[in-house]
Amino acid sequence: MFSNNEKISLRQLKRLLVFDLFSVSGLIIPRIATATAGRDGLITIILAVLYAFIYAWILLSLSKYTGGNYLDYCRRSLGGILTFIIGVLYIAKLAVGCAFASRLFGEVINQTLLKDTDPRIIILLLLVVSAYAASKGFEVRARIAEVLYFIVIIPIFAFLLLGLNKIRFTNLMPLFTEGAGDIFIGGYNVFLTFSILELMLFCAPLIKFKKADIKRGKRLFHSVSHAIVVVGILDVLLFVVTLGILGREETRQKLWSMVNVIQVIKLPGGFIQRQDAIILGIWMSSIFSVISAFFYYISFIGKYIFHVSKQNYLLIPFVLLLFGACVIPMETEQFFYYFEYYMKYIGMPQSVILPAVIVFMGKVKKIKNHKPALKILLLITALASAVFLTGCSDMTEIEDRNFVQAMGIDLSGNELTVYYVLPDLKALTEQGSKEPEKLILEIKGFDFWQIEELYDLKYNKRLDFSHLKAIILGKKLAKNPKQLSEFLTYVENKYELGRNTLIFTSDSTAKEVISLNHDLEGGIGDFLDRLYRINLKNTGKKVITVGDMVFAMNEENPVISMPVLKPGEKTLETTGLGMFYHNRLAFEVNKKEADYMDIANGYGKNKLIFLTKNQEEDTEEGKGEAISEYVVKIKYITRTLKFTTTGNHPLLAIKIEGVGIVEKGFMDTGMVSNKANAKIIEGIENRCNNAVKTRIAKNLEKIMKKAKIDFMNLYRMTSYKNRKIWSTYADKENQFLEDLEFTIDVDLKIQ
Amino acid sequence: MSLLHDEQNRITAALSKSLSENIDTISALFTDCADVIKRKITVGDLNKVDIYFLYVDNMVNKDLLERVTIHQLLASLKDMPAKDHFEYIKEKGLRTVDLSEVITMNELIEDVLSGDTIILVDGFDKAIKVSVKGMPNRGVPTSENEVAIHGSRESFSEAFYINRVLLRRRIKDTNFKIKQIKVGIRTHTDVAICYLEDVAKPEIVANIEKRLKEYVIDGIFDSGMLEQLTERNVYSPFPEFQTTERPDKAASAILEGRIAILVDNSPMALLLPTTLNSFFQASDDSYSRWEVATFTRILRYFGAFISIALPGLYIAVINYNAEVLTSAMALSFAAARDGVPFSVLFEVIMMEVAFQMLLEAGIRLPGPMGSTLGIVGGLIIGDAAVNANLVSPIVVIVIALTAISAFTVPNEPFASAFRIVRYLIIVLSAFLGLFGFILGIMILLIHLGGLKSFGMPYLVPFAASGINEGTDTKDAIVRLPLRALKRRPIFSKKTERTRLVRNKDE
Repeated sequence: MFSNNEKISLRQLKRLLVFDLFSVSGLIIPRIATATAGRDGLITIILAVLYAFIYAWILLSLSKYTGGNYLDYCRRSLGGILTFIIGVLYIAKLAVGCAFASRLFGEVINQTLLKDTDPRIIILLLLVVSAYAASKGFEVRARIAEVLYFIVIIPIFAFLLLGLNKIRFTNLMPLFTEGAGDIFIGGYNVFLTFSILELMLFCAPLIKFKKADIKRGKRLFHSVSHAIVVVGILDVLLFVVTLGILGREETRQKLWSMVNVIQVIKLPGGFIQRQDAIILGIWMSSIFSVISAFFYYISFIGKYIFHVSKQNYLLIPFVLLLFGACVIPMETEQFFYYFEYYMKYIGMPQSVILPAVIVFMGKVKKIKNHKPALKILLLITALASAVFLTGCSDMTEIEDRNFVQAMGIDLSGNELTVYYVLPDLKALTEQGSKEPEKLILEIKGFDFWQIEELYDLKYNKRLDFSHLKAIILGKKLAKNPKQLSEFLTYVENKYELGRNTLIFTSDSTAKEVISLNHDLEGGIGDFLDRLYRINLKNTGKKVITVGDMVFAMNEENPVISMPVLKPGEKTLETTGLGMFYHNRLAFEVNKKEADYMDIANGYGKNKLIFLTKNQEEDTEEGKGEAISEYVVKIKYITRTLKFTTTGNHPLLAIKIEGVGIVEKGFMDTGMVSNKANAKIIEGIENRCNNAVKTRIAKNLEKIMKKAKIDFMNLYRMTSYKNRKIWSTYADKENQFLEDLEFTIDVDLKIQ
Repeated sequence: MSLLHDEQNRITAALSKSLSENIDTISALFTDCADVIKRKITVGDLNKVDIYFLYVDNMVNKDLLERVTIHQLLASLKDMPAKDHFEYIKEKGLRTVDLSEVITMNELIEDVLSGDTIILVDGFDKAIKVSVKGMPNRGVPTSENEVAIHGSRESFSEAFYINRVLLRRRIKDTNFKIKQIKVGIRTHTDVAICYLEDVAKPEIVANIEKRLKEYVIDGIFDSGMLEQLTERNVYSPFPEFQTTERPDKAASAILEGRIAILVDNSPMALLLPTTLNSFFQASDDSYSRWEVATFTRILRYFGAFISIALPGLYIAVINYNAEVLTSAMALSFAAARDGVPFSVLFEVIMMEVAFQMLLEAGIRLPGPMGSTLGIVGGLIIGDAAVNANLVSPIVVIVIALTAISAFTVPNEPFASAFRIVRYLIIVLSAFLGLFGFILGIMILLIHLGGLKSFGMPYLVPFAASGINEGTDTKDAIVRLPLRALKRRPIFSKKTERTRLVRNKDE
């Protein structure tokens, strides 16, 4: 039979530690690492893992000296009064950690899942349910961790792996750009998230070993190391994905910036639109583990020093006390600042100094070493809290929301006009159709916050951006960096508005595009979504989302090439690309130029190359399409870039390789010999390669050299492709573009 | 309590050597008991002796009674000796081996009330008990609540002795023990603890024996009452015992080292200890191919999750996190809800309660009427409610799917616990969206994590997955081929874990 002895196995300890170490720290590690060491945050995490190994070894060694029962040893070495003071110090530290974790998660849940709910209610319930878990004891916590391990850690790991294909290497490379001091300090800062290892001092006697096991210490260290490695890998992955997707600025802006990453990563399959709520839900399960750990150890130590018969008796007062601490009117960022300060200078040193002093004193004195009502009350409190919340939580039922499908923004003078396109629900239920003009709401205002306020005063349903499919920027707004930045800041702070929402620019006003809503199948939002998913993506266009624009705003220099929409009579056409640089539409190219820009950027699949009857006109604008002799369709394409230097100038070698098929102008009828066919194909191949090469060269000259728009983001690319060039041209982008020389080699094979 | 009974309803009167005194006592005890047959007859020829027959009408096999006792007594006792009448009658007068002596009045009365026939002989303060029980019973019925495609169709019945036979027929081993005790001071209900002596953990056998003796109750009519009396987690909706009406399932549990408890007048056996995983194992899992068994197990676990989570998840997503859904789904849900006069919470609870009422009414109504009710309630009223825009069609789908999923769990008491927990998750989700949903799931998980059935954590083998060399997980969500299940689960004694080895002689 299983005994009720509060002992757990090493496997359970390992999983419990992974939960305790990862659940809160996972959210803040990208920020901590980036804030102190930027890209070198990766190294700080690796350093922190090394520190954690040493820390665990020291603590386990000290624990061994105490013979397992740390508090008993402390009493025998230092006496009751000092043990009481030490106990209070530990309780204070655990309480601060608990309050920080609860507050952080309370804020994350409030801002992502329960925007209209009072965060205090979220925190209270978080504390009560965690205390309920703690009241069940150490064994139960271990069992829950074991069950949740595969439900939480594996999906998060898999999800982060999916995020790897979204990262921009320019955000991560090069490494070793920060000073050694910053890296070491960053390492220490990240290491602070491993401070919960300190609890090993208390839980060591709660581990079950075989009676004859003489390698207990080794096994224990091995299990703790295993947990550290697992958490280290997860932390590295989190850092790479967060910094790789968000960039340095956004990562360090917000304490839990990594949550935004969850929005960007898309799960395969079409059942879930946005998986951030699901992933956050899964992540949430782990937070109970760490908060219950705080409660458990607080009551464990409290029972010992306050001489209480049952440790569960202390849970309710501590829930109330910690709730009070969590709702102190202070920004979470500020709370974190104090918490980090405390941990750096008091918490962490204390965790080593205290046990070391205790063991030393014990040695000096040569002391020889010689263990349901409340649970129901806690559960009732949790349930009652939920029941009493009726009315506290401001939910809006699904039929009471206006799901914005598309949003258009125009600027005239200083005034913004926002168009919200709504779905036609009546048409969905086959109850007829709403009047088309009622499906477009038009609101004018001077900023987006004012517009939202005006909406609330004018309309009776809640504005819901969670199903927004496309944003259309009017040309004037696109050219106004101040207003565009303001819009992007609004998007950045509006979690509900998904980062993966498509964004377009109109070649005139957004109103003209939006007014086509009635004429386009499924409405403008659905039309643009399908246009991208089915046709544009299929012809090698890179998907541009509002998240890319936010990233560009925060990182300043990347160029974002956004599709330009041209409204016709009852039709909508994509006419080219608009290049956004420094938060404004800086340059526009037509469709053909855009195609060759895509090829230069490695996105040319399924693109058509038109070759004219007159070979000389192959590379001339507008000629090929009109009187094409051959049409070549690119089936597969790769682009490689190599940066070297020639003299003092940077030299870029662009190599484009791929496979194409002749769609028009050539048919192998068998009437002509293979040799003759091969010759014709060779001729087409040469013309095709020449056309691609010349057009790309023209683009580079026109856009990059003359207009000084780095549409291939080459300058940023040097950061991981050629460190020497990168450091030579640090903060001198225009100079780089001016000096840049390039060679283009195109090798498209015709099949 | 009367003059003839003590506070625990035991007969205090003693057996007397005088038959008339005994008859007086018995007459007093059985006053106004029209079903008790009492008859005094005189047997012998030269040496006559008075004997007294006592039994309960229709609890004995009258034909057998006539043949083995009365006919024999009247025909074979002509040379009755002058003394030692008792031994003579016992040896010569009865043509049966199933007889024994009874020496107390309490025992005598208990035996009569249990269906035995008692013969009192004048001059002796003891009696002869002849077991010619023949109570009316349903025979061996067909399993109705735990239907399996493969395997035995037999089910336990109300007849205790038949249930014992059903187990013994399956386990022909002298180590298979059936310890019998009586519970209930008025009902004297027979309770049998069935286990394999060398496989079951003795501490668990001792534990259940102790628990059975912990309370003095007036009567037990079903194993369900015994279950409530002996369980420790009184305030948990989750059962501490697994119930089954299938003898093959009970026998299989006994082979795994578990204990089966049979209760007279109950067609359900109690199995202990139990874990969450046990409730998802159907008896025909062992009879099916492993791939099929694994697939159905996964379906059951998924069904259980849907049964607990779907209504709550629906409310949370609809009211708070509609971004999770694809736009087409979200808009379709919104359009379906347009014009419904109730909130989503009220709509879901209303439909859920309506379904539970239909279920309850369906159980209580006779068979043909039950199915009519299903059609009227489920189809006609449901359709009318949707057409009248009182409920949205999506909610009808959610509730129907939830109900169907709940029936995939092959244990009714366990599935009922899920039905109750569902409401907690619905309420939390309604007020706190996905956060409330996760809170509900966590409360459930913490509760399950703390539950134990006779010392066995409820979440084994999912928690403590390394125990028993990790072999218990081979028969959990995934059921590996029978040949891979070489070890008995954690329920059995550590020294008796091997249950399958290759026959070296072949």
